[in-house]
Amino acid sequence: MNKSRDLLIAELAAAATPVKRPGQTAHQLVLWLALAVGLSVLGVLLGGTLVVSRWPLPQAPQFLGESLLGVAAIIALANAAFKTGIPSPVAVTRQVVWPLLLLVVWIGVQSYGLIDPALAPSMVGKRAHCWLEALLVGIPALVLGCCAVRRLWPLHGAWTGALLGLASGAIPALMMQFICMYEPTHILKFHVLPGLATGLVGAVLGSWLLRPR
Amino acid sequence: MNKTFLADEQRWAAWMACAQRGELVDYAQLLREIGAATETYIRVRFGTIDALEDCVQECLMAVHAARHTYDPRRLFRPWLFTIIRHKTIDQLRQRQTWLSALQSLATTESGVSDPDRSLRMLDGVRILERLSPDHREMITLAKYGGYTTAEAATWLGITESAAKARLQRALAAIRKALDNEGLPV
Repeated sequence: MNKSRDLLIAELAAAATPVKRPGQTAHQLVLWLALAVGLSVLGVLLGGTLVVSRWPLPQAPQFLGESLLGVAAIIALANAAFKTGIPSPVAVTRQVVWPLLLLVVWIGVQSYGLIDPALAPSMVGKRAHCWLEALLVGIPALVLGCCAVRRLWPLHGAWTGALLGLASGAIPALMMQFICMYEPTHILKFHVLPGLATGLVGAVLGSWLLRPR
Repeated sequence: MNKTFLADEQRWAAWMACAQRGELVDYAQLLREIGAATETYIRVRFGTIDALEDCVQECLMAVHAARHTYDPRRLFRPWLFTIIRHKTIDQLRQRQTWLSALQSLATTESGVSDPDRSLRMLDGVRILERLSPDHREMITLAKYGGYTTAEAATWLGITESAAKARLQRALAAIRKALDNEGLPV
């Protein structure tokens, strides 16, 4: 072994500090989800009033199902995003397939609402700029998520960013189910579509911010 | 996993777990073994590349910077070689490395520089850079690294048939690019 490598190893060994929770992403995931939801609530409050107009859920099982599917998609997307921050020989496309499938099913179920709405369409709770809120409210959570994953070792920045963006965008989109008017076309156009756009923003941000080091 | 792999796996995983607790002697020993293994790995997989030692040291620094992402409950070798693989391919992709490799390839065995050969190599590098990352990776492994399709498939974590299809698509993309520029295929 040459001298420079020996020297490097000695320096690296001297610089090694104990690691807290090695290889764990669950802690970061829970923290990020809590912050992302908190930021979304704060963003919506800044954009206007927060009136929960559809509650309790058990009276509308289809609506409850839609909402739970949304929650599951958000958790799966965020979990996959943090997992891609850990080096793994598994292809990234295999890591993202299930969360994306869950997201597609969630959007599919909402599209089914065009034929058979979960609730009677209503203008109750209509917000003036819900699409803008759905688009912008997710961005701080996305940036925060990128900063958190950056501390790991992401190898596929664009994918990680896209997953974080989709999760960040889906949170306000899901919140709008409860606080904005209920009409399937409106939901798809003004709540879900801006959420998906946040995914694109995430992909761009991720490819820049989460480049392999 | 053969006996050597298994022994390495157990020893390295234990050392890394100790290193994560801050045990410096184990960590230095681990880095020494990883350094030697990385050197062999790069030689076997990528052939003799320029600045091999630089590449090995980059990999060691990458392992050091990523050590907090290793979960001691999981296998160590797949985690390690994912980092080494990405780091090595990154290094190979860097223009400087490509150009220095190009210079050495453009010089004939007798040590005489061949301008035509240099130009052909430059065309090759330029077209390779235009391919998608997946195609470029496949071509690098199969054509420059000299892997078989099965080895490249294992390397990339895909099935052999997917690797074959990816290689065919990559070669088709190169043929198309050469055609578009009126260069001989």
